[in-house]
Amino acid sequence: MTPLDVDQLELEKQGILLSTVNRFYNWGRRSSIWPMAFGLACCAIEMMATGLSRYDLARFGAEMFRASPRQADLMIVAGTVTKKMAPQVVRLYNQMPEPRYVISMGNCATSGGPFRDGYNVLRGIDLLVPVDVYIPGCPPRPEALLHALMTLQAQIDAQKLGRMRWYGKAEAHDYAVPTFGAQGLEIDGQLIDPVGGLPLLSPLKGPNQGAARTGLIEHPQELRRFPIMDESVMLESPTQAAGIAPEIAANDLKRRNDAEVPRG
Amino acid sequence: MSTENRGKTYTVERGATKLRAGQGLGTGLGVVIKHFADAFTKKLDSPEKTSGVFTVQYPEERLPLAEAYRNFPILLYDDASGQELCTSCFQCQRICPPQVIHMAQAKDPATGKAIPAVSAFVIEYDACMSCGLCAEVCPFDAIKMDQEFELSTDYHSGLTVDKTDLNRPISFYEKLAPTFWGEVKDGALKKLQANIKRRPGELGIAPQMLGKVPTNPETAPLELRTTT
Amino acid sequence: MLKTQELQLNIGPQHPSTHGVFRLIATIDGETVIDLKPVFGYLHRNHEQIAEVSTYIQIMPFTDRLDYFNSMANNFGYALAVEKLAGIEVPQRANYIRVLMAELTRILNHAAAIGFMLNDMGAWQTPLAFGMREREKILDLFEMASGARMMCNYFRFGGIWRDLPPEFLPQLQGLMQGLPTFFDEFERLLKQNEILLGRSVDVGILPKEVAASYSVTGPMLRASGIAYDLRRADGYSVYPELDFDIPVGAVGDVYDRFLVRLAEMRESYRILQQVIERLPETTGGHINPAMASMNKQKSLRPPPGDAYGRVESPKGELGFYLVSDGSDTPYRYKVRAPSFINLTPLGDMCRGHTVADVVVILGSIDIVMGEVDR
Repeated sequence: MTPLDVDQLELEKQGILLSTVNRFYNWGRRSSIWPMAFGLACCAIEMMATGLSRYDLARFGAEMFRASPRQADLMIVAGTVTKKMAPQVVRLYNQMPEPRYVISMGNCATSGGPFRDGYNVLRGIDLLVPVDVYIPGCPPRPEALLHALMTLQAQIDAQKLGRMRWYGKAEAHDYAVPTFGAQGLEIDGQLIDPVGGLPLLSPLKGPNQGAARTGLIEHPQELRRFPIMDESVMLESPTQAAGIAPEIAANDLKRRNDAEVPRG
Repeated sequence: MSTENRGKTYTVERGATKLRAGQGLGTGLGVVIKHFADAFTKKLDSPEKTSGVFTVQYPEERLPLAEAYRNFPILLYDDASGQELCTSCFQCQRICPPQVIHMAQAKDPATGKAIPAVSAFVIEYDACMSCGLCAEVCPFDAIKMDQEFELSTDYHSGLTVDKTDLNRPISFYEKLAPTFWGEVKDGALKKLQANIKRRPGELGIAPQMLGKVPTNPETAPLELRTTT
Repeated sequence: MLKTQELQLNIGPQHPSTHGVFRLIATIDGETVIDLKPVFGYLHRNHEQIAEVSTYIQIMPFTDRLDYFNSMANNFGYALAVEKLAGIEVPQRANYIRVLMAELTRILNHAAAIGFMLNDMGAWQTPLAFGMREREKILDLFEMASGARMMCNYFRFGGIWRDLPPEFLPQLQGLMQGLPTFFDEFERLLKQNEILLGRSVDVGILPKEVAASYSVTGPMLRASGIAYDLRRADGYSVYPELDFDIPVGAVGDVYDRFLVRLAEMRESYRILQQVIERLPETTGGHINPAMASMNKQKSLRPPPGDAYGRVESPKGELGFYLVSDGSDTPYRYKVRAPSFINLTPLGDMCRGHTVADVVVILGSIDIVMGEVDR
C-alpha cells in the first residue's frame, strides 16, 4: 500500500467533508470503468463472453467497451503481447487519459505464459506499462475477470482525491515506446526482454501504489525471482540454457548468484 | 470426392433478396422484443430453454463448477500424518509443456542420499497453461488440479507459489472431485505408506502440519536407505 | 471530372473489427478500395518452433491455442496426425465422442462467427449475444467432459482423456431440445433483415475458380459453390457412417457464407442426433488400451517418417504435418491453418468495394489470429 500521506491525514482530521467527497467521488469512478475494446488473443474471447449476457459486465458499470483509447479508463490486456505488438500496446496506453488502469488478463499478458520461451513473445506487459491487477489463468474464467474488476474497484476505493497525481500539477508523462533492435525490443538501446535470459521484473507499479517510481520508465533492472533450486535440476530442464548465447547464459548465472529478491 | 452415398449436396435457399422496407426488420425486432418480454418472466437455467434471464449474478450466485474443472495445480498431503504425497520423481516437471514446475529432492542429512520426499516445490502460476498433464502423469497422485480461480492480485511475484501455499489436505481434494479421488485413493495411500518409511525426521511433512503431527525417527532404517 | 488522388489508409492492428491483431493497408480512391495489403505477425507465438522442442503429448495443449474458438477441432487434427504417424488405432466409442465434440464445436463456432460478422455490420452485440448464449451452454458441456471451457486438451493419442461423465448426456439432450428453437430464431432474426441483405448481397463475391485457385476451404469454399467437405471427401473417423448433407452457396458472396454457416449448424445438429443415438451401443473404451496410461502417451516415439492429418475444422481444412526422426519430439511440425489460407483472397474480394465493406468481408471469412500467425 501507499505510504501514509501526512497532509492528507491532517486534512481528514480537520473535516469530514473531504473524505465524504472522496467516497462519493470514488464510488462514481469505480462504477463506470470503461474498458477499451482491445483483444489480443484467446483471453479476448473470454473477455467478450464476460461482456455478454451470462456474466454481464454491465452489472459493474463496465460494459462500455470503447473502441478509442481516448475514451477508455481501463485497458484489459487480454492475450499474448508479441514483440511486434508491444509498441502499439504502449502507444495505446499513452493515449488513454488519466486516471488509467491496466488489467493484465491471463498468463500470456502477465508473463508470456506458455509461449514465454518464444523469441517473439514479450514476457509480461508489466515490463512496459504499470499493471494494477494480474489475473492468472489460461484463459481465466469470465468470473475471474469479474473478480479482477472487483479487485480494481477496491483499489480505486482506496485512492485519495487529494493525492492523485493527475489532479496535481505534475504533467502526465508518456511511457517509453520500445523500438525494434537487433536482438529484440529496446528502450534507449537497452534490451528489455532478452531472448533466452531469465525474465526480468517490472520496475513499474500501478497508479494505485503511487505513481511510477520515476518520471520515466526505468530499464527493468530488478530481477524476477526465478525458482532455480538445484543445479542438477536446472540442467535437466529444457527451458534452461540449451542453445542460448553464452554471454546471456553467463549473465543468467551471474544474476542468479547475486540476486536475492525477497520471496512473496 | 468420395462416392459414399450418405448425404447429398444442396444449394442454400437465398430467399427474396429484395424486400419491402421494414419487413425483415420487423420480424427480427419481433424476436428481440419477445426475448425482452421473457426477461421479466423467465429464467434461463437449463440448457433446453432458449429465452429468459441468462445472467448469473456472479459474486452472490455462482455457476456450479464441473468436477473435472481444472485451474491450477496443487499438492496433496495426508490429513492424519501430515505427510506429503510427493516424492520428487520429476515426472510433472518433465512433462509440463511451459516448464513452470520446479522442484528439489530432499536429501537424507545423515547419508546425503536422496529420499522420496520433496524439499522445495515451486509452480509459476503466472505461466501455467492449466492443461492438467502434471496431474495426469503423477504416479503418486500427489499433484492435482485445483478449482480456485479468484486469484486476481496486484502483486506479480506472488504468483510464483511455493510448497507452503501449494499444499492442501487430501480431504480438500476429495471434496472437490470425489469420483476422481475415489479412483486412485487406495493406490495412492498405499504408495504413501511405503514412502513414509523411508523419510527420516521432518522431511516430507507438510510445512503447515509441522509440530501437529509426530515426526519420523531422525535416521531411517539402514536397509531402506536407497536412492529412488 | 474532378481530379482524384489515391490515399493509403491504415486499419489496425488495434481495430475493433479486425478480429484480433491484424493490420490492413488499404489504398483507396474516394471510398473505393483499389488495393489491400494485409500485414500480419502481430500474434506470432512461435507455435511451430515450440512444438519442435516439445514431446508429442506436450504439443496437445498448445494446439488448443491455435484456433482458440475450436480447441476440440484442433486437438482432433493433431491427434489424427500423430495416430497416422505412429499407427495407433482408435476405438469406436472414442471416435464417436470425438465426432460429438467436433460437431458441438462447429455449432459453437458458427454461432459466434455469424455474431461477429453482424458486429462488423453494425448490429453491435445483439446477434452476438444470441450466438454466445448457445456457446456458453456448449462450453458447460466441454467443461464437464474435459475440465476446461476453452482450452480443453481433451484428446489423447488413441482416444480421449476420460469417458463422458454420467451427467453429460442428459445435459446434452437438453441442449439438443433447445437448439432447433435457437436456429429458427437466429434465422428469423437475421435472414430477411434488410440491413444484412443490403450489406451482404453481392458483396465480396469469390468466384468458384478463384476460390479453388487460392485453395480456400471450409464454409468459404462451399459458399462459392464447391461441395468440398473433408468429412465427406476424406471420410476420417466415423464420418462415413453418418448421414449429413453439404450445403453450398450459389453466388459466393457474404450472404451465401452467412447462409452456409446457418445450414451447417443444422447439419451438425443432424450428426449430433445420430451420434447420441448410437453412442450407447458403441464398442471399445474411450481410449485404445495400448495407449491408456500417461506413461505411454508421453514416451511416444513414432517411427521415422512423416504424416499429414487433417480435419474439417469449422473454418476449413486444418492439417498437421509431422516429420518424425524417431525421437520423442517431432523433427518438423507444420500447421496448415485454414484461417490463414482463407485470408489470402481478401484483397481480390475487397477490390472495388467500399471501406465499410472491407470489415464485413473480413468478418465473413471468420479468421482467428491465433491460427493465422501461429
